[in-house]
Amino acid sequence: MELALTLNCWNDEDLVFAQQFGVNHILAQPILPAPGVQRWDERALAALRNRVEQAGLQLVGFDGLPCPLDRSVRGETGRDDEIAVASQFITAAGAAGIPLITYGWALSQHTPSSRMPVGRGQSHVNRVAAPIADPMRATQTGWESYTYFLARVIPVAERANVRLACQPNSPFKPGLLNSTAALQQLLDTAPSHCHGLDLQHGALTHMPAADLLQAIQHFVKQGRVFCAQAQHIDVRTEGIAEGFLDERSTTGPAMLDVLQAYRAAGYNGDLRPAPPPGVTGDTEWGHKGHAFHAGYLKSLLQVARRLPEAMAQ
Amino acid sequence: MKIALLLNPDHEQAQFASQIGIQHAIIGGPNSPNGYLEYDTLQQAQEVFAAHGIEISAVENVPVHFYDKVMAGLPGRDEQIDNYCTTIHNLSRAGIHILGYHWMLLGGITSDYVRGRGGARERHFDWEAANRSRIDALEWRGPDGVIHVPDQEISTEQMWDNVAYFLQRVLPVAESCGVKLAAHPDDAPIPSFMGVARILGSLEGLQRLLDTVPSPSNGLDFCQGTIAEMTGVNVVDAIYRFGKQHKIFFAHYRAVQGQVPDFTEVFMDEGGNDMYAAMKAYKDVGFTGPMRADHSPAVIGDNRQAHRGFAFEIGYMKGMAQAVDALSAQTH
Repeated sequence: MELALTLNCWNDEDLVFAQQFGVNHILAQPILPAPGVQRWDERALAALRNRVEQAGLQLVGFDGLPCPLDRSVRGETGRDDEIAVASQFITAAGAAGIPLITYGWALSQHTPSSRMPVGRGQSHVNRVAAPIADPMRATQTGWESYTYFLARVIPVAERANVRLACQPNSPFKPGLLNSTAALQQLLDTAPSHCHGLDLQHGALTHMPAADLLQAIQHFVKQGRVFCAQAQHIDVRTEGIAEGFLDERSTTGPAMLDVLQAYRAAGYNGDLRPAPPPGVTGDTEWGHKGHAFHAGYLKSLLQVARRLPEAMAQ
Repeated sequence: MKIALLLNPDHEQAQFASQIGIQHAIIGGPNSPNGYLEYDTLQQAQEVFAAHGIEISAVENVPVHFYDKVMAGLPGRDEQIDNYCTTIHNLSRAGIHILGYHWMLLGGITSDYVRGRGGARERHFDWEAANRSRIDALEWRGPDGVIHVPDQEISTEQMWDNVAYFLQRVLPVAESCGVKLAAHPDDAPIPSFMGVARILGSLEGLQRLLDTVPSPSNGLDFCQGTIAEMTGVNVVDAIYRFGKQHKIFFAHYRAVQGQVPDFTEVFMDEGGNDMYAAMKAYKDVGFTGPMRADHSPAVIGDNRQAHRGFAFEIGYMKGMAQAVDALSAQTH
């Protein structure tokens, strides 16, 4: 299990940043354009991969599709155009040797949360006042349009030898995939070796600790977790807010237990931190916040890797 | 233990620290023309930090020119010792109960900086190169920026006499004020430099310091990095040795590759030392004092306060402390 970071790979300084903090696995933000690069074709993707490798790092995938899926999610006319753009990108990524793409099945403009200085030390965190009743939630329409999308996109991914990893929905990105049952339904709907989960287990933190650990093991054991993300979401009566990874909620498991659950089930993919809360004097991407989260996951991963040796001491 | 950062009493720094989960600050001793730390200055610093939910857990050191004559055994040392006792009183009044001190007349010794992982700038010590260096090349000159070079050599036994003279006079005051004095080992831990003895560069030296004037206020600022630099020393064993005596008042968590005569400060995760075993050792011996992140290699795009570097270190320390707690919860 390796620590990864999602960053803008066109930015030299950020590649050095990752290298210095000992993070060798990189997920690319789907950001365009770079100088001289106008669209995501195979050439641009190969150039991006080359940049990362030149820095001594490994590009393990793309963190997100560079195109909206709003019409596909709504099942509206025009979704075929979205699917064509996404398919083109997936094909180009495969040709450039980029093996993984994460994506979310959610509306791009649907932002129920606001970024407010209500986190630790008045850090800026995403917050929603109360659980969202989502119009797409668990409706048959929702699944129908999702099935339509998967039926067209998964064969493309299989031909390109690219693994698509879908993210659970969370209070911050409401949608269909908001329970372990929904995630399992997704895996069963599209039983392809090229389709699995980007297990952002923060989306499941409303579950009791034992259930969350069991859910992680349940999905990992099916061999369908392609990528993972650590995120702290604090569910309280007054609202739901993101926070720093070390802020353990009272009902949540210790992070070491989470990492052990992944490892015990045989997960050997990447784990990346969620975008951090905004801290004083930080950059837009959050270099200070990412450094904090990288350090936090580093030590825990180091301990998790040497278990059970550490327990015997 | 209390994970801490060395901070200036400044609202922006304090806010950043509180955001990354810091509730304990270490401050450098603020200078004063009176030769001791002023109560008002300490109290104002407490108030700045308190606005961010942080308390001052220790003062790292007073300016070196507050006690250079004491270290060198020169005339005027009694006046400096009187001032030191005033500092102890003022700390106590301001609610600060740990006072660190560096018994290093020539300060910390670095021979150069090298490019480490990803080109990060790392502190390096090479004994031969250090011996060839000019006095004005000493990189770290103490908080007042002055290089304190006595005009005579100071032998090891003279230096022990000087520190005993100091401790015999300040420890009774510290005890009555409820302040603990925490001695930092000599970094780099070599027995002498430019003719000036460095007596706290070995475990034997640290033990002798504790035994010279036994007192509940006589203990260590356990700089893990410096102790890991000592030739042949296993730093985890050293944590148990001094921790079991309850003599670790304050700790610095840092990783080092190599030992005297050649070592480099590295990132905590780079495998220089067994950082898990170290954290577990502090917990096993019941250490509850402040533990601060020490100097970090310099990283790209960082600010003067090294927020990126410290954010990484604090994150690492918090993760390690949580890992130790989680494992002990699993085994009980």
